[in-house]
Amino acid sequence: MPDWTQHVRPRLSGLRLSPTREAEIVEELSQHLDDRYRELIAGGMSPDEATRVALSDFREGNVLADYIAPLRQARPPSAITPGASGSNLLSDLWQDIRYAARMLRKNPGFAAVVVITLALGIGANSAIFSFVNAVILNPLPFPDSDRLVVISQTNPEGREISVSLLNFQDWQARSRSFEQLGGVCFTTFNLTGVDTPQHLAGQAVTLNYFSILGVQPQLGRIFSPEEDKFGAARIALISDSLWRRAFGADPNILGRSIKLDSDTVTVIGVMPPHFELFTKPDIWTPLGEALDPNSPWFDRGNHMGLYALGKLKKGISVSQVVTEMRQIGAQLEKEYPAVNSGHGVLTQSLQTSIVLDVRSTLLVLMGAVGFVLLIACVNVANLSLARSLVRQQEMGIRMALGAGRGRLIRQSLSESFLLSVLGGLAGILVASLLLSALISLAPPNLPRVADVQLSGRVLLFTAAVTLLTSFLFGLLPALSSTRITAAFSEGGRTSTSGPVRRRLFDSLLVAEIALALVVLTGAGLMTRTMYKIANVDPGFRTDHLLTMRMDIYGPQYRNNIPNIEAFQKAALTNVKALPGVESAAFTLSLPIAGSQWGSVFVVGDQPVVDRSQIPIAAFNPVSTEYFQTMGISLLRGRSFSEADGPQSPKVAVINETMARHFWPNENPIGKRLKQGWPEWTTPWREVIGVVADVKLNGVIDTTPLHVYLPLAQEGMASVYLAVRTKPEPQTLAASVQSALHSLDSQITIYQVRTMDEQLGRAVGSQRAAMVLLSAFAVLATLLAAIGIYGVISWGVVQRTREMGLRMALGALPRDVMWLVLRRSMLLVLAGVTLGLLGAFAVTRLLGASLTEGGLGKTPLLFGVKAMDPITFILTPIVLALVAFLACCLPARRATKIDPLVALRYE
Amino acid sequence: MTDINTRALDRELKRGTAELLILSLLDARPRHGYDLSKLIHTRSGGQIQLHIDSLYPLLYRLEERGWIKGTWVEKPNERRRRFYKVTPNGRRMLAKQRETWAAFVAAVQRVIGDEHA
Repeated sequence: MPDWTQHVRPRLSGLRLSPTREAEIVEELSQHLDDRYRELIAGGMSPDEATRVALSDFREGNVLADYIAPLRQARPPSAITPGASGSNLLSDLWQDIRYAARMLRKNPGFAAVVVITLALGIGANSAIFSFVNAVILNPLPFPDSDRLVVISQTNPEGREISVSLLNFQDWQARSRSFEQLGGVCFTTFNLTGVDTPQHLAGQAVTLNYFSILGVQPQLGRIFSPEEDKFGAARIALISDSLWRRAFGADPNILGRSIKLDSDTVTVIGVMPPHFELFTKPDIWTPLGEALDPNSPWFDRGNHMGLYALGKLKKGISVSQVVTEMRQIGAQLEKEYPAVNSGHGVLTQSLQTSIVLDVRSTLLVLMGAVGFVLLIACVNVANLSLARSLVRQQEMGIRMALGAGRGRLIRQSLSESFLLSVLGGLAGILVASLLLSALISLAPPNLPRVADVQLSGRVLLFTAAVTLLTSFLFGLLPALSSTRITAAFSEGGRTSTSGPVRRRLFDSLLVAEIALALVVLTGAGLMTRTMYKIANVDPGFRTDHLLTMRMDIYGPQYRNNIPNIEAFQKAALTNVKALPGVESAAFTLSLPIAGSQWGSVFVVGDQPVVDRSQIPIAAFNPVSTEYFQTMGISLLRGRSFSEADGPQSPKVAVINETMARHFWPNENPIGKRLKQGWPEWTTPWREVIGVVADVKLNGVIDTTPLHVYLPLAQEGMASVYLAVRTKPEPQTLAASVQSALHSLDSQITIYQVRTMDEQLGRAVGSQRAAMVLLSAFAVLATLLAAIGIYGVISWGVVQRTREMGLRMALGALPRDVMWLVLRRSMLLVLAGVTLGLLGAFAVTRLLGASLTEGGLGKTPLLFGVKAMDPITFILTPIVLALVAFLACCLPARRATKIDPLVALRYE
Repeated sequence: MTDINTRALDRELKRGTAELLILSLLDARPRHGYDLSKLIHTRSGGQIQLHIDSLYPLLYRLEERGWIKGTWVEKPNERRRRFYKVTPNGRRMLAKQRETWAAFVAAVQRVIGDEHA
C-alpha cells in the first residue's frame, strides 16, 4: 500500500490547522485513498497505475485547501502569550483577565478557598458598614442638618439633664450664634374617645421648632403665636401614622376634635410621613400653652424635660457655639448660684447627640470586621504565595522569552483582581444574609435602624474594599513570584526556600496572629462583660414577674387622690383574684426600667448643705405589697401597710445605699427627710424601714439613693403594675389586662413585658456587641488557624529533604517535631506579643466613650477594665493553643518522613 | 405551500444539493467518506461525482455546523475509519431541505408542464 501521507500533508500545510486535526485529516483521506486503490487493483490495474488514478481525484490547484480554509478549524483563536510585550493597554488587560480566568479554572480548589475566604471578610464588612452608613454617615433628613445642635444641661454629678425653662429663655436672649433657638419637651398622651384608648408619644414644642427642622405639615398649618400661650384653646398637630391608624386618613381631619387625656383638642395639621426626632411622636402641641405662670416651670431650679434645639447661623461652627454656650452658662451660674451652681451646659451637634450611644459600638465592630478582612487577605496572600512558588519556573520562562517584569506583575494582579471580584460578588450575598440577622439583633436603642440597607454607598464601599483586597493579597505574591534569578540559579531544586520568601511568610504569619488576637481580646472583654452583667445582683427576683404600665385619666381622677387610690385598690384586688397570680403591686418606677422621679431632698437633723451639694434621690411611690411582690428584702424596720393612708403621718422606706450614706453607724429608723428644696413646704417624712438595694436605671448603672413612699399618700395616675406569677409570666398578660379594663375601659395599658424582657432590653447593646464580636473572633481565629496550618505545612514540605537527612543521620522523630514546633511557636510568640500591643491600644475603645467634652455616656464594658488581666492572659493562651494545634499536624507529618523517600524528594 | 426564496435557491443549487445528498444518505445509517462518494456515484448512474477534495471539506463543514457527527471506529487489523451520522439538528435541516427541494421540483414541473399544454 502506498504511503499517501506525502501526497496529502503538503496540501494542508498552508492551513492553520492544529497538529492533531491535521493528522486526523491526513488519516481519513489516506483511508479513502486506500479503499480506492484496493478497488482499482481488484479491477486489474497495476499498482503504479492504481496509485496514479487514485491520486487523480485531487484536482488541479489545491482545491482541498481552498475548501477547508474558510472552516473554523482552520482559524484557531490567536494564542495567548501572557507577558509578551503588547501594544494596547486595554486589550492587554482583557488578555490578562482571560488568562487569569483560565488559570483559575485549572485550580478550582484554590479559587474556591480564596473566594469563600474573601466573601466572608468582604460580606461581614459590607454588612457592618451598612449600619455605620445608615446610622452615622447618612445626613439626618432635615435641610442643613449639619447646622442643627442640641443643648442640655449637666448636673453637679456631670449627668445630662434637661434645661430649666428660665435658663432656656436667658439662652435665647443672650446667644448670638443661632439663627433660631427652640425647644422640645417629650411627653405622652392618651388618645381616648376611640375604641381602644392608645398611649401616644408626644412633643410639646416651641413655635419655631418646625422652621428649625425645615418641616411643613402635609395638611393644615402649624400653630400661631396666639395659640402658643397659656390658656389658649387647645390645638395639636398629628403624625401621618396616627392620621392613618386612628382616623383612616380622613381628609376632613382638620378642625376635628379629639380627646387627649380626656381634654378636647382641635387638630390643625398633619405632619408628613416619617417626621421624627429622638422619639416617634404622634402628637405635637405648643409648649407655651402648657406654661402656667404658677407652675413649677417658672422655678429656675426645676428641669421639666425641656431640651433646646438650635439652628446655627451660616459660618458658625459647633465648637464656636460650644464656647459661647459655656460662657452664657457661667454667667447664669454667677447670677443664680442657688440653682445653677455646679451645673454645666452640654452643646452637641444633633447628629452626635443621636448616635452617641451607639457610635463607639459600631466603630468597634467596624474595626473587628476590618481585622477579619485583613486576616482573610493575609491568608489568601499566603495561599497565593505558596502557589506562586509552583509557578516560578513558568514566570521564569516567560521572562526569558522577553516578558517584562511589570507586565508579569500586572498579570499576577489580574488574577487576584478576578478572585476579589468573585469574592466581592459572593460577599454581597453574604452581606445581605448577614444584614437581616444583624437587624434582628440590633439593640432597641439603635437609632435609624429602618434606614439600614445595602444602599448604593454600601455597594461602592464593597467595591472599594474589593479592589483594595485584591491589591493587598495580590501584590506580595506578584512581586515575589517574578523574582526570577533564584528560580533558575537553583535549577528548580530548592534545598530550603530563599530567605527573602521565608521572611515574607513569617511576617505574614505573625501579622495574622496579631490581628486575630486583637479581635479575640475584644470578644473576650465583651464576654466577660456579659458574664459580669449576668451575675449582677439586681436586688430582686426577676423571674416570674410580669410588668406593664397603666395610665388612668378623666375628670374623676384629676387631682383626686381618693378616687385614684380607690381605682388602684380595686385593680389590685381584681388582679390578685386571677388564678396564677401570687401577688401584685403598683410602683411609679420599675427597677431596670429607670427612675421616673428624681428629686433633691433635705435630711433632718443634719447640717444644711450648700445648694450645689444638695443630694438627689429617686423618689418612688409604691403600693403596700410592692417589696413582697418584687422579692426585695426588708433589712430593718417595717414596710408600708394599709395604715399608711393619706391622713396618717407621712413615712418613707429607704434603700441600703441611702442608709449607709447618711447614717453610717446609726439606726436610720425614726430619722426624718423631706423631698424638695429646703424652703419648700413639703411634709417631713419618718424613715420606717430599710430595704435591699435594687438596680433602678438599667443593670450597669450604680445604685442611686432610693426613697420609697406609700402610693396611697401620693396619688399617681401613671404607674407600673408588677405581678408575681406562678406560671410563666407572659401567659397571664392577657388576663391581667382584661381584669384592669373590666374596671374602666378607658385606661391605657402599654409596655407589657416580663422582667426578663426588661433586662434583655437594658443590656441589648452589650449583648449585641458580645454576640457579634464573638462571631467575628471565632471567624478570625479560624481563618488564622487555617493560615498558620497552611504556612507551617508548606514549611515542612520545603524542608522534607533536610529532615530526611537529619533522620538518616540519627535524629529521632521527637527531634524533628521539636525542630518544626520550635520555629513555629517562636513565630506565634512574636505574633501574640505584637497582638497584645495592638489589643492594648484598641480595647480602650470598648471601655471609653467617644464623647465631646469627655462626658460619659454608657461605655460598653461593665465590671471589666479595658486591660482586664484575665482576658489579656487567657486570650493569648487560647490563640497560642489553637496555633499550636495547627502546627502539630504538619509537625507530626514531618516525623513520618521516610529518609530514603525524602532524599529523592523533588 | 412553501415559498421559494430565489436567492436561497441559487445558493442551495450550487452547494446545497451536495449537502442534501449527503444528509439523505447518512439519514439511513452512519457511513464513512468513501462509502458516501461511491453511493452517490453509483446511485446517480455516474452522473454525479464528488471529488475527494470537495467531499471531505463538505463533511467538515457539516460537522462544524453540528448537522452531522463523525466518530472514529476501530476494527481489528484495519486502519480506523471515520463514520458520520446525522445529528437531531441535521435531521431538522434535512427535513427543511427536502421540503425546499420538493417545492423547487414542483415549481419546475409546473413550468415545464405549462410549456407542454
